[in-house]
Amino acid sequence: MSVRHDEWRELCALYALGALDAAESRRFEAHLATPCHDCAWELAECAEGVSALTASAATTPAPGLRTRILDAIAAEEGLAGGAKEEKAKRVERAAEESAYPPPLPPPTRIQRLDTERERSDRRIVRIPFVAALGWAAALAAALLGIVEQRTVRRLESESVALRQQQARLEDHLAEEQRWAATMSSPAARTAILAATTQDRAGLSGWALYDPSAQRAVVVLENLQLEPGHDFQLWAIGPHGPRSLGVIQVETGGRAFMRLTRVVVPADISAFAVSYEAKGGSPNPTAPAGPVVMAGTL
Amino acid sequence: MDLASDLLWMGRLQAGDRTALEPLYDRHSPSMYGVALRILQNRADAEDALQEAWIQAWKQRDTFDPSRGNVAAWLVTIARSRALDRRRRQASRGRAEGVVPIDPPPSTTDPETAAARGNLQMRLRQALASLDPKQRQVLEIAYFEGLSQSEIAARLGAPLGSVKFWARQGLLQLRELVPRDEWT
Repeated sequence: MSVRHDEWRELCALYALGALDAAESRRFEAHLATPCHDCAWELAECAEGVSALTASAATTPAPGLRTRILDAIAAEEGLAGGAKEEKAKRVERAAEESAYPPPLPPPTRIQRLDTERERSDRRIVRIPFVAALGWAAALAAALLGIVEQRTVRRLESESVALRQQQARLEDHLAEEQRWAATMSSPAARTAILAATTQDRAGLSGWALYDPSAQRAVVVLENLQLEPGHDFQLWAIGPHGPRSLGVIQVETGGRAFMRLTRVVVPADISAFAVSYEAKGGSPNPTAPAGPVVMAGTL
Repeated sequence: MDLASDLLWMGRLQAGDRTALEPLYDRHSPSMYGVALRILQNRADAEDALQEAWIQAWKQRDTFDPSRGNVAAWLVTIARSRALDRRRRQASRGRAEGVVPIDPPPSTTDPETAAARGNLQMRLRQALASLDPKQRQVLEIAYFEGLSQSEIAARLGAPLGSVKFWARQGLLQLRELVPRDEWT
């Protein structure tokens, strides 16, 4: 992995937080599009952190706001729709004018008294009545067409959404299968991790690393954490240690980690755990605190 | 409602079904409004920003691309942008008056849902509070104040490399502290 790529990867968190300026964002997006799966993965993880950040700020808006906003959208749509309808009516009127003779005024009461005029008017009045039938039929057909078109679009979009859901579930299943393959991979190597100091003699654990898949599973026990501190996991390679992150200790002092993209160049020769101030070592390539556990592969 | 339901409603919205706005509003407005409120520190402005955000979401519904993120992230990003724009406009006008203290608005949510949401909220806030102060500061300045990485470095008087490190560690730790399943 080149230094240049590490620089891109370091930008994932700031991009997820929206803290890159426009030019930086464009360059980062261009890099993502190369495509870079490593950065895409990192970005997805950072995006989850951003989602937790936004969820921490969630506040229920005032109840009346819902109606106000939905009405505002309907009003916007109404204005836009009104303009469209007006245009459609103009087109429709132009079409009608060319297809049918201009309608005649309806007969008046005086005209009905005049039998000669009445007969004459009745003959003429039939023409717009027939035309109206034609318009009604055309309108009904148009409405049916619109309804049908909307139904087709809705079904198509629902179908797309279901396919996306299926794809997500398949991805999830494939991911679990990859973990199962890692655990039984002939290329996988294991390390027994033991305490390096007497005062933490109870620490124990193991790590399994599959270099072909760049995945590792780490299980640690008896991690006694004092306030203001964290345990940090390290992979040791030929170029020294590299942080694999702060360890989340469960109740009872146990930790179970599944690590992807364990991308230390060349071979990992050992795993180690250091005891750090809260948040971990500021240097991703060197522990700041004492190494309390280690085990070679 | 879950991510799959979100996609279904979004599909209907993209097909022009305006009624799909209602379930999406109910699910995502608290996050959108909460972010706007944190940015603007004023209820009336946050409500206006939320309205602008929903109108934009409706008008630009065709730009939602599920391969680039989920519906929640898309909507919250719109709300954040509208709120930050409003904040910048206010700053350029030098507005300082009219700030109303933020009180929790009355809620129509049923008590059970409200209790569950409150509990989750408490856990998320505890998780945020448990971060290293520098990590938390970088996340809050970047997200809620809209500062760029170089502006954050200048504000904190720290090297750019440290800002990047704190941002990454903070986000990944927050993600680990409260698993996604609990808040999606």
